Amino acid sequence: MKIRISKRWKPGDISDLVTSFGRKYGTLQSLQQKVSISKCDSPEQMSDFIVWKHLSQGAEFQDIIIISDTEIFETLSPKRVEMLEYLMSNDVTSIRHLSTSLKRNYKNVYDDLVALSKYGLVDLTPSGRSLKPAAAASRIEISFDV
Amino acid sequence: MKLTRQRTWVHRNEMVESLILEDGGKIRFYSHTYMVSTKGRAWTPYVKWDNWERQPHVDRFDGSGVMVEQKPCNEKTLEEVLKLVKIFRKNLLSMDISQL
Repeated sequence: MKIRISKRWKPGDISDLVTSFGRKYGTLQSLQQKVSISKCDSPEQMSDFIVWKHLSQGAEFQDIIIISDTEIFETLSPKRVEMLEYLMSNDVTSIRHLSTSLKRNYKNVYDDLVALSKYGLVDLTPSGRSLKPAAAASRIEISFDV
Repeated sequence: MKLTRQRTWVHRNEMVESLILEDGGKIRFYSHTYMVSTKGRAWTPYVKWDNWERQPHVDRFDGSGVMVEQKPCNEKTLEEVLKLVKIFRKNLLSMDISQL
């Protein structure tokens, strides 16, 4: 059994990502210098540099998550799948906004988001004093290899 | 140019994060990092194969995220890395990975 989750980044999302790199590292040149000096000892910085540099040059960007661990089904309850589907087609500003939209208790929604984020299925980005949830996927496929 | 970031779960707390840059059908850059998360904390790199500055090599970390060794090795595809990681998992930390 294999679950393949994919997300093709839209221009608006790419622009947000590039802005977040700017906040984190300053300029692309300063990050390049850090990566060159550290000689690959930070995989995160190296990946951020490659992504930032090539997105700035117009590269297309796709995220894929592959899960073959059957324990994922303990995480994917019907309510959580419903929440994931909602996030895949709607933009929400906060967890409170999401819980109101789904007419569900705030704490249960929060717990579900944390569980889904452990498998990288949702992103929780700080936005002001709250967290902004967003689906990390635009497509989910489940396949059974014979 | 196409950038693909793929996270492949190997076990509940173990994954391989891969970043591949393709241009004109050829892979220009790759990085495959085997990472482990303990007790729900942040992901810690254990082993990373990449071709930074067109020099294929493998980096080994000490289990707390500090790089302890860097050795040249043959280019590795994601499939090859996944195969190694699934077989050896955390034992990779104590092996001569450049020979694999």
